[in-house]
Amino acid sequence: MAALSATDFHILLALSRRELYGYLLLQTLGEDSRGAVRPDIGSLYRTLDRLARAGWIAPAGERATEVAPGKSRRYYRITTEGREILALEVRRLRHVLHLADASLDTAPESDEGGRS
Amino acid sequence: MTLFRGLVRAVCLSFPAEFRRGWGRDLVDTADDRLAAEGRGPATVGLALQILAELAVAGWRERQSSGAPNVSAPPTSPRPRTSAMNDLWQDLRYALRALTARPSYSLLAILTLTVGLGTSTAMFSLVQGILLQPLPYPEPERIVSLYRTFAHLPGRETRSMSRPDAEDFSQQISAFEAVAGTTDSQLTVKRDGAAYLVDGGLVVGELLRVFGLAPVLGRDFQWADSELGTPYVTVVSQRYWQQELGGGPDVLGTVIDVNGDAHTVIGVAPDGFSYPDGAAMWVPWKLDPEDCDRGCHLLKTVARLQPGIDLEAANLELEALATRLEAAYPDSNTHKRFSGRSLLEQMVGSVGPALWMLLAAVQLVVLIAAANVTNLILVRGTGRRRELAVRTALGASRWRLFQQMLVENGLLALTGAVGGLLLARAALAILPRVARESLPRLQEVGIDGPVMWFAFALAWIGLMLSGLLPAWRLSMISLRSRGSTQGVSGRRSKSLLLVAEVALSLMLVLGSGLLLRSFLERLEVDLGFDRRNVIRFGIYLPESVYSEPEDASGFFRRLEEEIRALPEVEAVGAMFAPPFGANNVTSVVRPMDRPDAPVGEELFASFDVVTPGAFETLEIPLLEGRLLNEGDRHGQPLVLVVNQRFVDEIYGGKSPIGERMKIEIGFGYDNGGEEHTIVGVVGNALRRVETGPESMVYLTQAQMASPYLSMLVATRGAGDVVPAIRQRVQSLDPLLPMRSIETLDEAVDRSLGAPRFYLILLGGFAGIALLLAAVGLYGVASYLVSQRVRELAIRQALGARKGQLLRLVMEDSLRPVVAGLMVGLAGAWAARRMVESLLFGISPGDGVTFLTAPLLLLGVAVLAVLWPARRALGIEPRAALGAE
Repeated sequence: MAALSATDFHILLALSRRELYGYLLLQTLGEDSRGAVRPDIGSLYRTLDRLARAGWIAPAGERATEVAPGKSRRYYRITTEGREILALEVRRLRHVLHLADASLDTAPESDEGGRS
Repeated sequence: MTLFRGLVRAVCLSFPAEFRRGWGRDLVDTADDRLAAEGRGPATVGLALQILAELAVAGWRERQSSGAPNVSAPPTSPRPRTSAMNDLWQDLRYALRALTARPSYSLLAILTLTVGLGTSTAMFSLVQGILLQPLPYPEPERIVSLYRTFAHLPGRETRSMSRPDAEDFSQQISAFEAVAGTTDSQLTVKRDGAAYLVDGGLVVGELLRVFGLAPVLGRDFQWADSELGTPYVTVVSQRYWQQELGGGPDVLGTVIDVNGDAHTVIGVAPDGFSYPDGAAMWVPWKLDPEDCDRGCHLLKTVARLQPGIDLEAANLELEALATRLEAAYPDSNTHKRFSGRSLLEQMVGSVGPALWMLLAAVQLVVLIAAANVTNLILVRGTGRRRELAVRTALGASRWRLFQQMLVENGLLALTGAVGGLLLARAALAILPRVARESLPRLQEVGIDGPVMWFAFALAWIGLMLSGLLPAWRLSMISLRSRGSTQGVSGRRSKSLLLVAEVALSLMLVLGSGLLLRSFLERLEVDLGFDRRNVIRFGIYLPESVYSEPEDASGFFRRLEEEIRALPEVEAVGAMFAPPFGANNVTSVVRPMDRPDAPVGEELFASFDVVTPGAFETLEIPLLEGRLLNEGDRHGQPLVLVVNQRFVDEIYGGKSPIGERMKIEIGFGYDNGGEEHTIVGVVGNALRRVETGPESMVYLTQAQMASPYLSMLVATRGAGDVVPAIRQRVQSLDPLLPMRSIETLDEAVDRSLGAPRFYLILLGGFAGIALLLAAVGLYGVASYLVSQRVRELAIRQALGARKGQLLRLVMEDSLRPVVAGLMVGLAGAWAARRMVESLLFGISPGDGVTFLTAPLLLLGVAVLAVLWPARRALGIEPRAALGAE
């Protein structure tokens, strides 16, 4: 299969850990990618729309938010199919990383000790 | 937040309907969450704009891609559209592309519209919140404020009313459902061994019923509550009940010590009720008819009309009642008349004309902005002739071109309206700091439904004004020419716009110039006393503790001694009604050197009770005779000091020393009616700037003791003396609070609040107008120069000097400016009466202003024109000719 876009990948990754609503998802994307993936709100929903049509994510109902009590927001979850796609992509990435390591000699180390 | 949600919802219309159905609400929620989480202070507006812009772009992209198959989603079938919708949609897309292709043009147009619509919308929300929005009470139009007028003094009116008159309104005016009289007062509440001041009201009658309200708990006041000998009761605000009294239902029956007497709580007023303004606690005013009867006017009276009865019927009844009372009580009611006016009118009366004037003035800014945008569109249009000609050649109808340009301009107007709303919101956020206490109902001002309608309606009108004409002309011209030069008519319409712009700007600059001059006049006024480094605070001695006049005068004498002993203090004194304070007592004076004046033709003067130190503290100069001193005591001959104005008015300027006169009014413990001898004349100390000097009579506290005085302390100016003073006050009476502590400077400054506010607003409008006019002028001058580049180059090649060419170009651009100045001067002269009510010390036709304002504008115009003119002359003739 073709590689997922960074935004698609990070959305699936974020939702694979727990269900999230719009703004929380936006924040999680920023944190996970260390600021590399930070779509604007309109683009985020365009992507969500596409992923939902593909059947990879789905709405998970409306409930009160953890951050702002009293406000209820629609949460999203990853579907089984989405999880499979994510696993496939992780496998592909791992393979790519393996290739990169071999050619550049950048064996994984702990965060603190890493050469940069 | 609701405004922002509304805007987001509007912008989300750029997404396809199907997308909106699925995601619309989540989009709005997320945008809202992001603004709430990341918006910081004024940067919030920027973030909001960014979010809106991003959404608009994303929506546009979604529309473009929807229907097209994409990688992972199942293909969607294209929705069938009507042809008109299709056209419109195409126009929108085309307009977006055209506008983003020329970002500097679009940005300038949007900014101009944003500024014009923003200032106008902010001004309208002031008018809406203060003047148009009904008062927050049930059927507020039934609430009436009552006025006392004088049959022999037309035009003079006051709100103060006597208690017996007010009670007669309640019993004898059938048009009234309920009547109440109030005066605002700081109440001293003692709880747990400490004394607090609570803003409150002294009340007679049925206060809550007048406002159409029922108490949350307990009962409303009745007339009987304010009669002597009845139990002391109090009503508290809902907030006071919840914050200070525990908020439980058992509050009824609680006893509170108010002003030295034990008051039982009988009711809790509904949430938000606070009349007089700021009141949190009300107690009945038990006025002793022995002291204060029909001739003693201390209450501001309000009434509620019976349902279905109009004000006119009530006024007829009031007139009849006044005549009856005049016959029955000639001593107190001769010439006394009554009339009612709606409470809203009374509350906003003085600011109403000023706000309407400012709203009218701000429309000039909108017109200037519209003229600027029209010019921009016209100038840009000449650059687009080629494109339009090509499209016509490809088969586009004139109507299609016109429609497309309208859509493009409409998009500009819509963006401008959204920006205007955000700008207005930001402006309203800083408003309370600018307006301070000069506007009533400020808490009710905000961006609500009517304000949003106003903004969009104005944008629509602006679009009609600025977009329609150029769009029509461009779509016409493209049919017959694909020309590279423009005809004379285009140049003329640009010049006409410029004339209008300059004329409107001049009117605004003139108006604000008049306000500025009059503000400076106010600052220049000699107040007649020295206000620097003087601290003022009030002391109110409860008569339950200080029951004899000697107690009060003794207390104030000791307090002055204590304060005078402080090293930082230069002088100390006390006055009942210090300059620029709220107190003001006028009374009849009867000079003994002439026969008694008949009822209705008496002489009036303002009265004050002072301690001898007051003149020294305020540095009010002695002009003749002597000041009051410590020797003027109880039991000694009664004396008084008058001011120069009093001498001029009542003694025709002749020395009044040794003259005797009778004072009708009594202060505090005294009932008045005694004879006093004039021992001195002092300079005129102004009580407020607007009224000028009034006739003043100063009595001494030792002979006419008042339990309420304002202490005046002149300091050497270094450090905060208030804590030391407070300690001295408490050493004499630990339960005595210091009321409304402020410096005299602050009191004087507060009186300048309203004129300063109007000056800032109108000055701001004029500044914006000037800037917009300069931008417009610059644009037109640049255009005119660019049209003549070839001609100028030829002239230069033929040997014309640069100075000559510069003059040629400048004359060309400045001709409409001069014409605009003429029109503006004429317009301002015709409209000068509009600002008259706001002026002080200068006439609305003030020569200095009418001379300098046009010069200022001309200077700005020359600068705006000089730049493009010089640039044009920098062009090498060969390059300019070769380019064609």
